[in-house]
Amino acid sequence: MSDASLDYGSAPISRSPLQMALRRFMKNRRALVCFVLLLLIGGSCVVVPWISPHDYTEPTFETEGPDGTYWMGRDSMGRDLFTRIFMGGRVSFAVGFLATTVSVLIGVLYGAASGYLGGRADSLLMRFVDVMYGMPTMLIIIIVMAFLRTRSIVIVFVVLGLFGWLTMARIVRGQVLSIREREFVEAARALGVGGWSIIMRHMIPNILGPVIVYSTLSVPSMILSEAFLSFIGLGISEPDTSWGMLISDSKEFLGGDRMVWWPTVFPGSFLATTLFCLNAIGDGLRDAIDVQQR
Amino acid sequence: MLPFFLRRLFVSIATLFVIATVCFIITRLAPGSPFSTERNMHPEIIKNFERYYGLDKPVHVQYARQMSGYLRGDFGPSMHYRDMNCNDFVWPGLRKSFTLGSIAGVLALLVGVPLALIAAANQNRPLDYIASSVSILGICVPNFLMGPLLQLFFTFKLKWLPLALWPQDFSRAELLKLVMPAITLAMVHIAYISRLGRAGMLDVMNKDFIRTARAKGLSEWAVFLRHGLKNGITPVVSYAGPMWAVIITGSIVVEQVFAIPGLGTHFIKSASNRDMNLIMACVIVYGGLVIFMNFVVDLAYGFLDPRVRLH
Repeated sequence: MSDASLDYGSAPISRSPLQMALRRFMKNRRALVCFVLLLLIGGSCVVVPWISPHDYTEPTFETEGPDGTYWMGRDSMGRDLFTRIFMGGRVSFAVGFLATTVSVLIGVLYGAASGYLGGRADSLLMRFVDVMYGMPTMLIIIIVMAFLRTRSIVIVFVVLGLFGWLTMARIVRGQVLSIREREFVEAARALGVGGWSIIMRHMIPNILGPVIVYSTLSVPSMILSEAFLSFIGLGISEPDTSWGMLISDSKEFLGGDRMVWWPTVFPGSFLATTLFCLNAIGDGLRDAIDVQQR
Repeated sequence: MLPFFLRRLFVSIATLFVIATVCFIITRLAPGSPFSTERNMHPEIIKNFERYYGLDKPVHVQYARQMSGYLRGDFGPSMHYRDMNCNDFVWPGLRKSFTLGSIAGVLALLVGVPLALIAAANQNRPLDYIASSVSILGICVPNFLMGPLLQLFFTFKLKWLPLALWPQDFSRAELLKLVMPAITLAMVHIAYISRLGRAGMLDVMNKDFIRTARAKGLSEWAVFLRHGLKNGITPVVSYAGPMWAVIITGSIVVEQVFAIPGLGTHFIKSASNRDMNLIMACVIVYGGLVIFMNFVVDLAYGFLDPRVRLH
């Protein structure tokens, strides 16, 4: 705190822990650059399909590489890849963030309830989490997706969220257990505040740090899961598209003798860049918020 | 050690049982029978099929029949490939997937650990940055992207490696088919192992006992390998357990990319065919494999670190 140390005259500037974390995050150059890059990709996903002269479903039946009109080439049906990539980006981002939201909501409530109730209820709830942990989740998601007739974006993110809350529940429970015995919670209880308001007003604001960090790191893994499902043909269905599906579409060129690289390389680099940025931001937030971990 | 062993064994068997039950519930809850997808089948014929596979019986009878079959090692007939038993798919498939997974796992350790050591020994120097780049690449390029990229480069551009399929014999040309699938499957684990190993080594190399070892005049390499490695590698050991479960999920993708008729391919096909018996067979074998690996790793921990046995 060198900037404030010599300033004896005025009252010390008070900063909440989150504000201090934000300042630390802003000093992390890699995370900041990644944040800007991510905003750029995300913004393009919103804007490009609007202003693009080509519709993402409009076929020309010619598969050609990048040229002046089709900046990133055309896919197996001759559709403009540039527009399709940003259209797919919309789905990938939407699924990533919405699935994370679903899993965070369940995980936080479950973990908070378990930690707060304690005793027998806690061990019962956590035993259930342990059993779920032992399950090969991805296999079960695959079966569920295969058996669902309609596969819309909503189904994909709800299913991913429903199976992705376990770690969050564990983290939150651990935090709640340690906060539960602190004085300010005891004071609230002594004042007659009910159980539910204690969870909502006192516990949740205090466990926000780890929740933010873990949610950020969960977004790339959700995007990855959606891409995985779409790649094996059990995710988003036509005419919608996503980055995983675009990469999956490029498989059909592998039989030919022409080297068709653009349907793999372009969507792939967007996916990889996004995953990299999200991970870097998550790491940056972890370093900024969990100071004692370093 | 024995009570610990028995307790873990019990938990493993119970988990496998839960997996089989959940899978049974999902497949029976789903609307429609495995035969309703085929076009224009007479309802009477569908009824006959359902009677043949026992689907007309009450659910608890079906459940009891399935479970007693599994206890006898019988996965039941496939509902899509008529006249075939699930065992005919599962075991040959498992052999291929297991071979591929083991090669990838060993490759991940053989490349990842040295990479971690090189990075840690050259902290913040060019070699460290090269190693870190490899690990970032592995984390951000998922296997379903890595596979096609390798195919584009090594098959189409350089024409070095065969595109896909499983080796038919042990000749050199055939074995080359394993190279790209194994690298694709191992890449992400190479990344995590080198990252965890580097962090673990750097953490340990700042400890007091390392300073003591240096003070007694040991060479830097002796300190690094004999004292540092033994303690710094523990994060990698704890990663190597769950790694096998991830390798198995990853192998589903890799089998798709490289057209390998392994367990993953059968699993995806059976899921889209609604072949209930084959789905359950695949999940039980996969689940059994993961649980067995976790069991072995748990035992190894209990052996290495007696404190674990108390939990």
